[in-house]
Amino acid sequence: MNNNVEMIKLEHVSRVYDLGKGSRVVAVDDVSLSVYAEEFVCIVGPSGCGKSTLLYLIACLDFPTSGQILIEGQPLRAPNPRVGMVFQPDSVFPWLTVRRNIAFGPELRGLSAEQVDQIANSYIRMVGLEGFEDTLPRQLSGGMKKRVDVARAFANNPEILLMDEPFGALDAMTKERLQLELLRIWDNERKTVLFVTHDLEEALVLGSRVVVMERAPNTIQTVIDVPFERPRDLLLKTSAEFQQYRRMLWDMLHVSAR
Amino acid sequence: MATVDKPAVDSAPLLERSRQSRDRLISTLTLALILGVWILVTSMKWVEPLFLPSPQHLWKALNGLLPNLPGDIFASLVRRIVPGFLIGVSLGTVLGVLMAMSRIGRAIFNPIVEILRPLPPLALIPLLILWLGIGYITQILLIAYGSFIIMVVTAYEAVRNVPPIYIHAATTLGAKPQQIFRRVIIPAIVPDIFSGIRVSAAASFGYDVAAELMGAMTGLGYRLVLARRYLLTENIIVILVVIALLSFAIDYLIRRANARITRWKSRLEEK
Repeated sequence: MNNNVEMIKLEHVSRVYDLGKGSRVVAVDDVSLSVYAEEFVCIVGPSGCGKSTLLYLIACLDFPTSGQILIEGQPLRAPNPRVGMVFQPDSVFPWLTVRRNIAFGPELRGLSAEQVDQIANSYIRMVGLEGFEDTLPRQLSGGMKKRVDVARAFANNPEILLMDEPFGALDAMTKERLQLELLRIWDNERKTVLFVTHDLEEALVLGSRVVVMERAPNTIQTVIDVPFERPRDLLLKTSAEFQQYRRMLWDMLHVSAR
Repeated sequence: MATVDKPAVDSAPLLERSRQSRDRLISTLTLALILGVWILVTSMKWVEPLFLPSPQHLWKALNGLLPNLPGDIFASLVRRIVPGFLIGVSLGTVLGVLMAMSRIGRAIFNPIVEILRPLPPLALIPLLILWLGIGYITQILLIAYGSFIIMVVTAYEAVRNVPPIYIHAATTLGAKPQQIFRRVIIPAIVPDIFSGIRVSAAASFGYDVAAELMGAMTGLGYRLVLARRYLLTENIIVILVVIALLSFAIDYLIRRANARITRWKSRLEEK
């Protein structure tokens, strides 16, 4: 795929919520951004800066009040399987087994049973859930459910993957393990990823670029390039250069919070 | 994946089991106490058998009622309760889901449901009799209506309470509205629908008895009317026990089906 293709293009996108009685909330304020094919872009920012809203807008689960969003040059009017999403809260369907959850997208498209099985098996293996294929979500730990979420999104083979603080609710160790797995999966299957987080280290370990958002106005403050070579691992976090970048991001966020 | 390594956690099931056997002992003692007082009071002739018959009276009454019992159960359960319940539950569920899914459906039916909902179904008896007379149709209608109104509200609320995150997840995976309905909404509401079905089944027994009290020539409720007319308290009690057992059996079957179908739902253990 040509790496210069603009997969996502935001042009002066704003989302204003009208709360009635003349009170309004500007959740996203005039955001412009381009994300290119096979890029891994992370968005960081204080809570309430509109980073999640931005993902919902791109997924067409919500709509901008002004500006426009182009997916490969075309505006979308409804959610499309080309744009997948992993949510922050647990969104694994509790009534389906691990396998049927991961197979959800392929089943919807009406693929043959063998094809569906083949896809499901390969993603079950990819996230290390062998042996849990027929387990119901209520018997899984939080980290395992998140693996199902991620596998389900990848198994649907979207071109763009939006991830809304997917590991935000996990403990530190599980979170690091899942970051590592995500890096590995992404090295195999280069999707265009837009990843929202409030964890600066997470953004630097995963992203090729980091978009820093600020509050009031809820818009982009800066975009920085992350130069670390791939494939990356968690040792990266201990390097001096990594810590410099972390400090730089920290300073930016704390300037905007003041 | 859950790892249990603290001894404090390991002893919890043991403690729980000893508590369970204690609870069972208390329950058994309560029942034994009631039984004992009953036997004492009746054998000492402290109360008139008309008010409280003795166990032997009940045994005799049961033997007297036994030949008619299959017919009475058939008339109540098979001819009235089951058809009325099934009609009411299916219509109510369909309408409740329709109202939750479609704005137009809601606009049409919501005012009607809102007017009917606060009315106790038994209050409709005089009107039903006036319109349709005292007959089979009236009886079935009363039972069906009782279940219907429970299920409309249950199904409506169940659909509205489906967590939006599941619908969002399905949409971004490419599900069309019809697929969302079949693959997300339907499975998500099944546990709530089952709760409604249990309530409706219990209510159906109540409405059946009410329907038969107002003038039937068959059934357990009719047998109650006869027993009261002839001052046969022991017959009344035996019939009440039969109704309770039937109602319990039906509830048990529904609970079993529920546990099977909604195995995915995590339930809090009863403490």
